[in-house]
Amino acid sequence: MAATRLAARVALLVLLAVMVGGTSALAHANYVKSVPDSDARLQRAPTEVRVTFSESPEPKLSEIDVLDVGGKRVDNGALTAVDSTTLKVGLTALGDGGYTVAWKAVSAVDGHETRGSFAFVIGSGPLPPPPPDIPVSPPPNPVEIVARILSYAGVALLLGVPFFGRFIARRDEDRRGAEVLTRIAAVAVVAGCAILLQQTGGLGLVASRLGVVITSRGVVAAVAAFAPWPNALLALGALAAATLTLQSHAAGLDDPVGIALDYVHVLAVGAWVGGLVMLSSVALPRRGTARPVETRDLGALVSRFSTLGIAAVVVIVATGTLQSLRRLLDVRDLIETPYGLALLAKIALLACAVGLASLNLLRYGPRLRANVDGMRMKRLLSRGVRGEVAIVAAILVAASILTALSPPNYATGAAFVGVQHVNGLRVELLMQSPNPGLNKYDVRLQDGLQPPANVERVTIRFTLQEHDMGEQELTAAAKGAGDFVATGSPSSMYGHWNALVIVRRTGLEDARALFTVPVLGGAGGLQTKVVPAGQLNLIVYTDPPLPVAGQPLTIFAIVTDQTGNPLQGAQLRGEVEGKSYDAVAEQGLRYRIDLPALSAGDKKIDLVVKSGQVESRGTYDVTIAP
Amino acid sequence: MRRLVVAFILAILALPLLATSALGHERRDVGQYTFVVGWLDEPPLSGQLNAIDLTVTETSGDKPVEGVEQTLKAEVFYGGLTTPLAVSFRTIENDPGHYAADLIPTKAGSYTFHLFGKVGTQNVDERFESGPNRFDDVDSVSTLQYPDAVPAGADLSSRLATLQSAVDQARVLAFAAIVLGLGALGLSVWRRRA
Repeated sequence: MAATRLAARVALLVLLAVMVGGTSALAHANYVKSVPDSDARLQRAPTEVRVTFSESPEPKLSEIDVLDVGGKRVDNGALTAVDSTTLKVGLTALGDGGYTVAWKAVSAVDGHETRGSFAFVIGSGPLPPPPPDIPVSPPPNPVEIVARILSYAGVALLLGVPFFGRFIARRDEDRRGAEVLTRIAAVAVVAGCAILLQQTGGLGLVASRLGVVITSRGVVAAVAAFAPWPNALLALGALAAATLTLQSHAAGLDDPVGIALDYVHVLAVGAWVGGLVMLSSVALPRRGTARPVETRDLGALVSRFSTLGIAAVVVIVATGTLQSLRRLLDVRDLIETPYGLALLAKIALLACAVGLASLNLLRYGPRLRANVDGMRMKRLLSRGVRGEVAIVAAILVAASILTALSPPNYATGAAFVGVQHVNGLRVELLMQSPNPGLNKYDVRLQDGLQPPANVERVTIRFTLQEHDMGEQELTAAAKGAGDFVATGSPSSMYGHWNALVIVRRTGLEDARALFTVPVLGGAGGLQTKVVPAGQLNLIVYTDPPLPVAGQPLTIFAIVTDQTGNPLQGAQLRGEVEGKSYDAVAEQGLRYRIDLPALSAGDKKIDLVVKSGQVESRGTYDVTIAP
Repeated sequence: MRRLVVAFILAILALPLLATSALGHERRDVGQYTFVVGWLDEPPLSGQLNAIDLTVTETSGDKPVEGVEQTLKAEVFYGGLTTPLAVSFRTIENDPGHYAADLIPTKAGSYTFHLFGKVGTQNVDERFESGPNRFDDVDSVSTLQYPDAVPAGADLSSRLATLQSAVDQARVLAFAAIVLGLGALGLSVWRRRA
């Protein structure tokens, strides 16, 4: 009977641990960029496709399939890693036509799977439509969720049980129950790790980073089952907790602050959950009989644990909230996104748990210590614990939802991300590059918790704040539910640009969201440079942004005078590999030089500007990828 | 002298080009006719009387087309709204081929002019939408007001609706507070008696 009760309590509190895991492990390898770029129009066939992700993908588990319009694979299947975040696959000889790249990336950090697709065209044909049957970021499957529950719960117990024994209980009579709990926890962790390995890639995964982390956790848990009580066990529990952090979102982003927050979060949860399990399943049944000494002992124990519990919950709330806020773009995400709502519910429920813990600390503990109305206080304490269990069950619902959702502020690789709220719509604008010239703009719309269904059109209008350069307009194409993408060169100069997103919805007034986007250069992938040429400067960039061997290259240049203002009426030409190419003036301010396909390697392109009788020369260095 | 003559001739030749690319108007060839569409008064401001400005000429020869006000109709759409305002064209005195359809745009933003009917024997069904390189969006009148910006009627209406909503919410909260207060009072009296 006691064993059954113990198992039931452990099972209930195991659920609590899910909450911990839910907040800490949500790594996603999202698409950042590719060569060829999404929707690229190529004159010559590429020899390979490269896709760069926001986090390290596991090459053994990831896929890049290149399909022609008939659905036939045209890649050679040899997927290799270029660097920690980029994968490439070779192509067979491609003819003119549209091609779809369907990719699957499995995070090397936690094995979470993301999917997506993009298209490119060789020649002048139309882009193939996005394949309808490719899901994006599928939620973890139930077996995987169970495996995570086992891992998180087990680690929490491995950490919390010896912590309770070392700092709270202080009596050897609890040791036997603790040893039972420790072994149950070790079995849970080992089983969870085995299922995770099997789910994510089998034994072949063991040699990967993800495999090493999971396997290490299992080994640590196995050793902990036989470790001396309590200090060695406590150290092994902390080590096992570290392996959870190594699988966290923060670890995937190499974010030291996030990693530290995550580890503190996991340690606090372990201390709280493990202690709660020990209190309810081992310590409470042994103490608090009608004998005054035992009742006082129980009161002291409850007070010590409640102090610890409140401190732990405060740390959990603080670190969890700090981590979560880093994943929200806007405070209103808390009520406007499914992730935010789940998070809000979780925070509210945790606040209730703090309230119950306060009752234990301030009311039941002191009265038990004073042996005032001992039996009644113990009954109330048991009721309080049941209340906490009910809250934990509710938290489980919120945490389960949370684990299945992508946070609003997930890594996109975008140079600019902004959110505006207009006419009941949440309008999010992402700009791919911080440099002038060809750029990609992604508009994501949300109406309540759903994408708006009646969007006719999304346009973006650009005006430069520093100079009057007129107004440029791009129309975004629908890429998915509530997702619209526009590509073009409307922001052709350095400066701060007003980007007015206009959402046209049938039967409604336009929603107009104004963003100020900085086009100030920096790391963004484009090879935009300021090239000095005598007294003049040339702001130079290329199309495609990442030049690749075998593709024709277009050089764009804006000539500015000493005051930084665009210079009109100049003549420009480019010289490369012994040949000269004249520029064509575009829109009165920008010059375009069409170059033929160049071979791979570092190239020097001499740019010669003739303004009046003065000729100036500068050199633009560009790298052509193989 | 010869240079001066050449420059004069070039300037004369360039005049039609300048006329066709009228600032803030969209020029579009529709069959054998050319439409130039925009706002009559620019910049268009919300709450101010304005009009659709329409010039119709024959594409070959630029001859003004008359009588369009009797055969061509217009609808005005704001944003994505599907209920249009129907307006009629009138001629503009001493300017053949030039028409106007009066309206007062009450809100800032994008407007679409739907022109339909006939010009001569040719059917017309064209939509002209404000925007860059076409014709201007309507701007808020407050951009030109000084020293105080006076809210437009539409803005006031919107603010009143927001205020009404806030008042309704406050009323519900006040009612709930009264009920709670009475309940607490009753409970307190009952406990004291007990």
